[in-house]
Amino acid sequence: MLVAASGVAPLEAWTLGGADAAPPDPDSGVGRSPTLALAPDVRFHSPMLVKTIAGDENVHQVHRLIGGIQGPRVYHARLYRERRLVEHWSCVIDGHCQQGVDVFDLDEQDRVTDQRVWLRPWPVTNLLRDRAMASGLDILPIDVWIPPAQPRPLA
Amino acid sequence: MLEFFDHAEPLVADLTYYDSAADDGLTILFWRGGVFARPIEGATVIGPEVHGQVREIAVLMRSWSVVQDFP
Repeated sequence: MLVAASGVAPLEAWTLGGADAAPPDPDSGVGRSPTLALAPDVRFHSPMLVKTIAGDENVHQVHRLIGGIQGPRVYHARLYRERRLVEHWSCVIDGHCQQGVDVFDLDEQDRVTDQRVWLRPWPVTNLLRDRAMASGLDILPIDVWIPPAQPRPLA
Repeated sequence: MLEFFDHAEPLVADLTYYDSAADDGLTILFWRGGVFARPIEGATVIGPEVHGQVREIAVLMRSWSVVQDFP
């Protein structure tokens, strides 16, 4: 929390209690996301996980796990370029607003071959991760959730 | 906001913007760099614009194991 220590933002801006509480307007945005099929060898890079998840069955399981925790999503932008789809969305987790950006790489059959996710704010992402890990250890082993201990230089 | 970026940006080593996506309403800039010698990635969502002025900037990051130490 190096920037937090600098005092450029109020302390509550760094905590879950200060996270945006206003839920996204369900009537706003660009409509529902198209249902995307997964390629058999799809790779899923979640910011909550320390390892890439591979294979359509495994990725489906993780999607179901996360989707069961996040409320319905409101999509704010859907951008296509060549065989890449970028979506910006928000949802509500336990009354806290979360935003995400997904980047999907698609094959010639419009199946997802690669999905990479960015999230904010981090206190809400921590909440999502904690809840997903609490119910997801039977789906993904512990080393997918927790990184190996690493020496870190002193700040 | 500018003061916040002044504090946060130097913490990311070798900050590189490598891709972008945009429509009439917003722009998403994708970047990567390093914090504590570990890789970090971000997506900066800029927009919408109203009367030529940006109304919102959101910085989304990954992955958890690195971002928990940053900013």
